[in-house]
Amino acid sequence: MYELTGVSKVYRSGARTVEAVAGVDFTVTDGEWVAIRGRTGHGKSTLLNLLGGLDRPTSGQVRLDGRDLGRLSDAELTRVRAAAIGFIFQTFNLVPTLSAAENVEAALIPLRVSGAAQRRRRVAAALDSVGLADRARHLPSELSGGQQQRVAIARALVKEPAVLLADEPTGNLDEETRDEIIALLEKLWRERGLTLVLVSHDAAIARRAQRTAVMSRGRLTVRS
Amino acid sequence: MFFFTYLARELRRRLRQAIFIALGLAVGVGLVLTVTAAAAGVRNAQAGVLKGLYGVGTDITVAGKAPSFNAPGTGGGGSGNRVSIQMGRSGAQMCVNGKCHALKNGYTIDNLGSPSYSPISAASVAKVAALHGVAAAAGGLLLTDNQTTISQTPSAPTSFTVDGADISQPKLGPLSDAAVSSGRAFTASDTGKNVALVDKGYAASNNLKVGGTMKIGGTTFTIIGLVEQPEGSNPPNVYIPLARAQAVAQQGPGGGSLKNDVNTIYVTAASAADIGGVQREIAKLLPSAQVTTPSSLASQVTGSLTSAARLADDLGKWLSVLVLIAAFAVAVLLTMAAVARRVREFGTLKALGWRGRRIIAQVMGESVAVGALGAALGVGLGYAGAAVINAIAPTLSATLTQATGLHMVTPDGAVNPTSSHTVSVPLSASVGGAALVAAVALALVGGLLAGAFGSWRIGRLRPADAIAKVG
Repeated sequence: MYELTGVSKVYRSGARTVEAVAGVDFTVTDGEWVAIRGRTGHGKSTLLNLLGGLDRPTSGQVRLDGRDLGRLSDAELTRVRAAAIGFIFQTFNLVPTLSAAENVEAALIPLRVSGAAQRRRRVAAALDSVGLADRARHLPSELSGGQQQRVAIARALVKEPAVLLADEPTGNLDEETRDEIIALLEKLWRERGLTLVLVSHDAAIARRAQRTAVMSRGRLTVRS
Repeated sequence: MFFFTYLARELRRRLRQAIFIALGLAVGVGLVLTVTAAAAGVRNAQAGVLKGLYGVGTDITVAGKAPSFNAPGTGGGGSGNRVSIQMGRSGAQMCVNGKCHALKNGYTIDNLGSPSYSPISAASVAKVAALHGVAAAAGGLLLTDNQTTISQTPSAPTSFTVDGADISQPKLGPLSDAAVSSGRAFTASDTGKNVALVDKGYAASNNLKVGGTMKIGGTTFTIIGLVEQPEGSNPPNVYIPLARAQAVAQQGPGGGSLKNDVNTIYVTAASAADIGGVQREIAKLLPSAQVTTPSSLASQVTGSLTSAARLADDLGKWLSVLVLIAAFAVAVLLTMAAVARRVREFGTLKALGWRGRRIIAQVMGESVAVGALGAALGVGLGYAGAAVINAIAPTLSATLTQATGLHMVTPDGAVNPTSSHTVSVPLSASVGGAALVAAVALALVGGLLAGAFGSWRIGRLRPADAIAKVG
């Protein structure tokens, strides 16, 4: 469960300061799907970075299962990301030189999963769950945008995290592929009991979430 | 396994850049190897020249300092009697300590002397042998036989070099490196006999044969063998037993006897580490002698060999350093640029839970692999460079100049004739094992350096850079 209390994030550039997140109080319960909407530049991705331990708040607390992520050491935060949080990015962020299977396997490296056979089995299962079992050896450049995002989803899920954070996962996809990806995410969320926080400016996607919150000028307004 | 898969894929992606960096390192390493090989070749050539004079097993050579000569009539020489030959309008005169004797035309003065070195008491050899750190010591007499035929026209004497060798110490001194090509070597029974070994080259040019005789210091010696020294060395022309050399030689024509003297002591140290200490101890024991090691003797050699040594030491060394610095700089800059292009990739890996040092290890691995490729190519270039040097390098010459010990006064002024020996030295550049290890290490260091600079950026990378925007 996420508990955010008075969370702010301020960026400084010379004399200029930008308050990307301003005093956010917010709770996400286990297994919940929350969609965060908002216009570009209003702090959605910054909030997601704070939830994922990719950045630290300037003030306030981001608690995941009772642990204040802002107070953890870099090594502890890395361990939390490796074991408990899966990320999906708008631009897929696959390693271009690695095949689909190797990109998925990259998520198992920090977990030190022993045995090549076990790693291969988990990678194959993850790719199968996103419908790409037959594309395991393909490089990202040999896959369509939708297929690349499916590989990214498999990479996020192969370590069986409790939390899935998705930043505009359909932002680079056409409408038909967008619907396929959202349907896939919804299916996996239901099957695995994931906590899903999805950032999108697309109202159609947000409507499928259990709860919607809107970021505007760094402030979060929650709607049921 | 994943480490190597990722490494290989990444290097394949930027193959051209990897090859460019590797080639840069290879040129630097190849140049270092080539210069080192050439320098080693020059050093070997120098050692060859000196070895012929002082013997292969000699670490330290002790020699009596060169005698000085004063103007005629002022009396007193540096050592022994002061002798001069004056060519006046009334004829030739040989003067010993200012007292002159008329010499007839056609008269030959045959003197076996020690013009280049002052005598050292033979008893000093045992004292040197007893010093701490000395494995063996042998005395010797390096002599010059001058034969001057008197005529109205002054001319330089004909001369040849003679080594009075300690037969009981065959592993020390100039004879230690010689091989008998015909006849036989000295045996213990030759100690008191008038027998001689002659350098094969000198024998050929002077029509000397085994079983024949030759005059040395006015005494007839029987030639029992011809010996051959390694190519490029400058050996004595004739070898005779030390005891006979002491009996026949004089410190100048009509000068003092060398019966109880030597003028060189050849010393082998117990280990290379002892050489410095032994050198100092001998200098204390024999303060008037010149104590040198083969490396310091190299400065006595002149000619194109010395120029080559200077070229290899100065120009070659600095050229290698400059090329290496340039190669390192290119490797560092290109690696940093590659890391900059992969910020999103590394940020993503951090988001996946990769630790910073695991990513740094990946980048370092890539750089070291490029360094290893550079090392392999560089070793190939180094061998090729050494082969090119061996193929095109001209034969070098080395000149050793020694005083004949005669002081001649002619109507045109005083002359101190010297004899110089110029030998041709083939330059043989070869890549040594230590140089090979050092060159490979250099290329790997270049790779590590490039990886380290690239990794510095990764260390400072925030995981949030993976998303690369403030949403």
